[in-house]
Amino acid sequence: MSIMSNAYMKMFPMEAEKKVSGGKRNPMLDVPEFNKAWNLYRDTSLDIMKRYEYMAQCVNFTDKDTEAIKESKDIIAANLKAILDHIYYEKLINDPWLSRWFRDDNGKIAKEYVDIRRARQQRFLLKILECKWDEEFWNFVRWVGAVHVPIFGSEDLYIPIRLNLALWGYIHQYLFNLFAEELKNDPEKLRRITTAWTKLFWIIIDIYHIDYFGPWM
Amino acid sequence: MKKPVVWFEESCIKCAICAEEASEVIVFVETTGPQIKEGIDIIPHSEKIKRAAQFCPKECIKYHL
Repeated sequence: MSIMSNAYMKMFPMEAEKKVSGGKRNPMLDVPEFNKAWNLYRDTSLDIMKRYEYMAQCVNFTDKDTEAIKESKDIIAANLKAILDHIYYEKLINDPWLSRWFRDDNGKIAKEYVDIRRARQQRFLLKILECKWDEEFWNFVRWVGAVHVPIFGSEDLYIPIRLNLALWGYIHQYLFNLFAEELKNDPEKLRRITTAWTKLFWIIIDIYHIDYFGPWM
Repeated sequence: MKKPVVWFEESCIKCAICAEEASEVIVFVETTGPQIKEGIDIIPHSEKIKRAAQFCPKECIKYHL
């Protein structure tokens, strides 16, 4: 044994122990459910459409929900400017933490930059309203999330997950209050639309955060 | 027949969304804003240009296609 391997064995005494095979396979690997879970894990990590399909069946997002989101188009289109103005010119730039992302080097709100971020949010909402749940759309959702992760985007754009969730939650309740106001005389339609948007929000939140986590999370 | 043309009006806020939506035909220049790629035939990209215009927050992409 060389000096180096001696040193190694002293450093890692477990490695020096004699290996005795138990002669057994790990029974877990023979359980069909494990293989099924592994295949599902692998597929939903690699294929964004499979990820969407899995999440959609998990939250029971169906064609009926897509129809309900289409039903809400008119309400959102008529209020789009007000929604975005509120989120950007009232909520974000006045929030003590979220407003950090909209300030210039002197600490003042950078109006032009706020306009650009607002434009991007508008595009996001318009794409959702197209209701095309295809690979291009889900890759777009994933990309929007990914640019807020430092290794993919700019460090200046990094947004902690808790702030993403806070903002998604805020938009969620803002839309719901809007629907409740607009549909106060049609509770069934209100139920349909708010249910569909809730499911869709959760799927979007999952796919938006894919690159925030290791695939095992 | 009118010659196909695309132009960007001054109200552009330089968000670069058009260049992302129609990257085959529109390029975003940091200093000047969006431009049609030099020497490109825009007709095959008509749909992409219209889509970019649809997402423009200031409706400043104009075209005859």
